[in-house]
Amino acid sequence: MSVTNNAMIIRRDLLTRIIKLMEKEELEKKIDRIPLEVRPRNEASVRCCVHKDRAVLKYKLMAILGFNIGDETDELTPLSDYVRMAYERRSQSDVVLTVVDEACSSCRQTSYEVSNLCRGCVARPCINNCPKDAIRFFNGQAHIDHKACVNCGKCLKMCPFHAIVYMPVPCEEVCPVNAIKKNDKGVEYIDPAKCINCGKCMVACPFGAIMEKSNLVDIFRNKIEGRELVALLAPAIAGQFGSDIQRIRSSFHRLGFDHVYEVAEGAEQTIHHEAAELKERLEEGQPFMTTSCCPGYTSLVEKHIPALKPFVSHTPSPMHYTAKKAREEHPEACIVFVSPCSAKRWEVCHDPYTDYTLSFEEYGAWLVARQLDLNTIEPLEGGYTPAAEARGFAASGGVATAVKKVAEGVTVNETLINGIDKAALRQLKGMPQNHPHNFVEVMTCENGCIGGCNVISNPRLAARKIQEAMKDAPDILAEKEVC
Amino acid sequence: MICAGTHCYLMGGAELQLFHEYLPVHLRDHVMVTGSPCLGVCDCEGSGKPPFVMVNGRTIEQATIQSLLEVVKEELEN
Repeated sequence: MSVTNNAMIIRRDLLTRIIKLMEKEELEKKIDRIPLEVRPRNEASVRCCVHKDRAVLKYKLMAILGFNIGDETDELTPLSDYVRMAYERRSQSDVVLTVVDEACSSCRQTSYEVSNLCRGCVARPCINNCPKDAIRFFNGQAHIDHKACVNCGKCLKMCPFHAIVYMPVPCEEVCPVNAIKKNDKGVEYIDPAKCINCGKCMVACPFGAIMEKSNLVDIFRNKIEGRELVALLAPAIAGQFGSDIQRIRSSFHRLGFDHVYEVAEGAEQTIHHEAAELKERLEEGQPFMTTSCCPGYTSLVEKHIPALKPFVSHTPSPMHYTAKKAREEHPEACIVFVSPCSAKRWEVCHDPYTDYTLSFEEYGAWLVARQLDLNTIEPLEGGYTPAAEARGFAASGGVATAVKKVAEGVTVNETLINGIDKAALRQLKGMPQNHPHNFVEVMTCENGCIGGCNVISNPRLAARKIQEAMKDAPDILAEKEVC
Repeated sequence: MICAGTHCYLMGGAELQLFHEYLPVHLRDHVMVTGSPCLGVCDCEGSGKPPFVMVNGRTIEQATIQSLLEVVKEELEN
């Protein structure tokens, strides 16, 4: 199944255009032209007309400039004004996902509907099996009375003609915590008190109506101001561009970064600390411990499963350890985390050592804007090579494998939560009472970070690349400097 | 020949790297799938949009797994 879709491609195209203009220092002058260039007057539109398309593009660009769409006070404010405000701002809120209301198609809330394939049969099992007597027959076909229907889906299962369809609201369907709902105008609204920033809604929305607030302008401003730029590369990046990690590292220097760290370096510390913490907790009599490196999961516990909180590891994430080291070595630098997902973007807002986030998509768009091809970039020789197990953090099961390997004196039995959906949420909620194993690895995204909402590669392909990157790396237990 | 240049990769080409897995078994022996560094097509005005793929010298723009399967079948029939 293909993971890329047209909504994604449009977003990446817009990112590339913005970065091109920033590189030429023409953003303020030319940004208002982008919607016109992308949707020229006489070409076909995707929505009702080019004007609607252009309005949607404008708001998407506003999010890329780092604004919430809800921040708009005057509809006439041109994008160039937002560019000015973006260059002037010194901080942003920690709300990372924003709904482009212009793009939201206000999907119908109704879940079940009878299609015109209904033959009006004699048996009528839909009526016989409806527990709420919600099905009426007129004009020769069945109709659902939505006031009475409780969305049980029995009619769909019973219809011999498959004439009844289930129509989800895609963003609401994937949100594991019911954080996205319609407002009184029927447009989706993300409740910040419930949202765990996983970005699943952004991937699911077929209209591309959910955008991440970007830090691109802020990163460029720091570059212009002459601050050193540091890139921290999330382990999942190794699987993304079909290129090897040494070329990827090298490309960051070409983009203007002064220093590049692999976050897998910090993962080594997470592994050792997490293993030590697990041993300590088990010895103290705690029945199990869960991982803490996925910020989507820690937000989930914080906001929705407080009973699980005592069981979550206190070990900081690999990003934190790496950022701390980078900050010590480059105290004045602007530290940018290169990220697979929007939950990490949220973590960056809260970590004392990191400044900004650059998503994998944004990084890719930056390469394209600069016409850099990873295949032809000279690989960077030398540098620190993190342990194989640390590089393995990018995929589901990676953390558990690593902790199991270094844990001494305890037998680690792991449960893997590979992606948080509504079923996994129920399992996690029950864990304080029902915990078959002593170590629980939780990844918000299926497949782990290589399945994050900002990834480029199909996770299957990425997993292979991560395996290759692990082959080139030393064993975690090999003798080397560990703090 | 599937372009693995960064531009194509970002615009959907990443998906095409798995193309060989989608080839029906009876066609696998008749098709050679290779990756390629940037084919250079994206720089030419009017050549279309990435991702690009070359099939027997034909340039396919905005390639998807499905569109490629069609082209490959056409080429094999000829």
